Amino acid sequence: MRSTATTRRLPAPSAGRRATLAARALGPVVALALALACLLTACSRSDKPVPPAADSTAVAIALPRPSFTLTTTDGRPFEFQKETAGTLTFLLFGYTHCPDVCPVHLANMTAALEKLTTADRARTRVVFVTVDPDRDSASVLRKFLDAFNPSYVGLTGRRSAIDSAQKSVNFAAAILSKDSAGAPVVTHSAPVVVFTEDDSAHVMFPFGTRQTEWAREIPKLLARGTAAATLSVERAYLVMPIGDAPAALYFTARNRGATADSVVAVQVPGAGIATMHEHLHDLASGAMRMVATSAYPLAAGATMRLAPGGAHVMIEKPARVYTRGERFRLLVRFAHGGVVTTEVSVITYADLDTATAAPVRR
Amino acid sequence: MQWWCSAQGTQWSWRWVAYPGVWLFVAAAIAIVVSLVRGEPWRRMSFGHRAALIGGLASLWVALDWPLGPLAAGYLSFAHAIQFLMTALLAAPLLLYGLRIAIIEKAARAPWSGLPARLGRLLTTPLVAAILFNVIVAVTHTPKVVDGYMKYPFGAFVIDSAWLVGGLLFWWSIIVPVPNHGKFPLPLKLLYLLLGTLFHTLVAMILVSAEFPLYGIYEMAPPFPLIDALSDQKLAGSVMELGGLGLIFFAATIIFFKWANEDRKQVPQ
Repeated sequence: MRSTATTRRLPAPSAGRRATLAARALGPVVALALALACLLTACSRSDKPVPPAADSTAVAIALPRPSFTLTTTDGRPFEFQKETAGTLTFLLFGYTHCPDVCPVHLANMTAALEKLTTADRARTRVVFVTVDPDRDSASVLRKFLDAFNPSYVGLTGRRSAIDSAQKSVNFAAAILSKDSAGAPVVTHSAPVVVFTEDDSAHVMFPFGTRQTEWAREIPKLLARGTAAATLSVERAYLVMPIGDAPAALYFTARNRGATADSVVAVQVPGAGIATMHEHLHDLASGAMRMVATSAYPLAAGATMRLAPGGAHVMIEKPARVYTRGERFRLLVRFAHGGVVTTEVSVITYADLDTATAAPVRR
Repeated sequence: MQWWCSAQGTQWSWRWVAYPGVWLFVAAAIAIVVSLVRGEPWRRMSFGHRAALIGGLASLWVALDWPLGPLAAGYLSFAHAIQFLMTALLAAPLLLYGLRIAIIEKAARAPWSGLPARLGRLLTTPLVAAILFNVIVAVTHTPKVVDGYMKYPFGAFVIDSAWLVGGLLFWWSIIVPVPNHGKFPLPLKLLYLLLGTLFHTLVAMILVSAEFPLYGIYEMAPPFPLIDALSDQKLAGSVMELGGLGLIFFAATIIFFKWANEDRKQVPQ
């Protein structure tokens, strides 16, 4: 009450005076506000290294899906290349006692994966390999991964096998040591290597990748493996080679779309190196000549049939022996339309007539 | 040792850490308060004024020091929101309410003159104070500023200080009637309170509705049990909105009843 009385004794400015004051105030206030904004935003740049990475970007790499076998948390062998083939696979190495990098990296990736549609989510695999198998028992590893997503694959194994797996993606093997107090210290490569549906890794994501970046990049990675609905590959067959000779593979590609495309790569996971060839008529000698090609053009509405005596895919140095009737996966990458996956049947030369005579499905 | 709480990127520990800069800051605040209220003003202050003063200083200290300070600086977005509320919307009005009598008496004995008077009058003009407070709230909550500043003790100090200064400017017009707005009508004060929550509400809504974490500091911080980065951010938005509105509503209620009381007195008996 006393203070109110004191207030009333003070000379109060008139309404007009207050209005003038307010009007006069606006200019300096805007300037002051802008200065504050500039001060706060301009000074935020610094080269001082700090723990939380701010803006990270995917690192471009080129790596085939590696072949290594480790053990899952339910004790069964897991052949990485075979079991993850044709899926968008996120491979990371870490350990469950990791206080920061592993759980944060996993959590941010998981948050973005959870935003995918069920169909897209089904096209992904997350594989976490422990680099600390002594402390990360199967149950510990399972419990750790279940906190993110029960579908995540946890792998463990002997230290030498885990080291080999890391080396297969060009990572240095993790170093396990102890600090001066005797506490375990684990040093390991943290990036997540992402294998797309063409069974190659084109990018890896270092620690510090934000959820927004994951959410922006994952659909792009999925799109790499999504063929346009207008493209199809069918009637794929491989003719059993004789002895150690290269194997020839044929298929029929169709483009029902309104724009031209072209086949730019063919992959047969686990089968060897696949190269595209065509037969050219040498006008000088009059003979047919086989040459490697980088693309099979496919005009709008066109069908292209690879067949003996013409264009074909050569599997050089086949990685294994084929048997008649066997079927395996073939990935055909188009320049614009993504990747089409189909099945290849293994036939003999005797089956050729039947195979080449079969009509193209429409 | 850090002199002020900032993001460290290390795993959170409940082990106590000393922040000498915070102690100095709070000690400076106590010194200023003591210099203003010692002697006659203190004797004339009511229990409510004294309690508000002590509560304001305590709120400031709790908001800035361990554990809330470091939690807010580098681990939990919602701790950051609580820190904002405790600094700008709790400590600032409590301090001003506690110092009200002392400030009014000092102003009456030694009226301000010259540049400080002009600057003081300008900054505490309601419209100016509201604009400044909203700008401070908006700027100090942008991801660029939070991520860029909270990593460094000085940056975190700037943000914390800006909140306190912004809060003092904002509440000054409501609580302290000098130097230039002794006739700030009570209904306008209600409107002013709403205006003051403009950006505060906007920031809270953005935090609640964002699809992904906005602040890299908290997203990349070592994980805290039971809460992920996005849930933490949504909680921060809720705390900011509900806590802020609660405090503003409390102040508005006091003003409303004061207004009603004044009206009753003016009615001829």
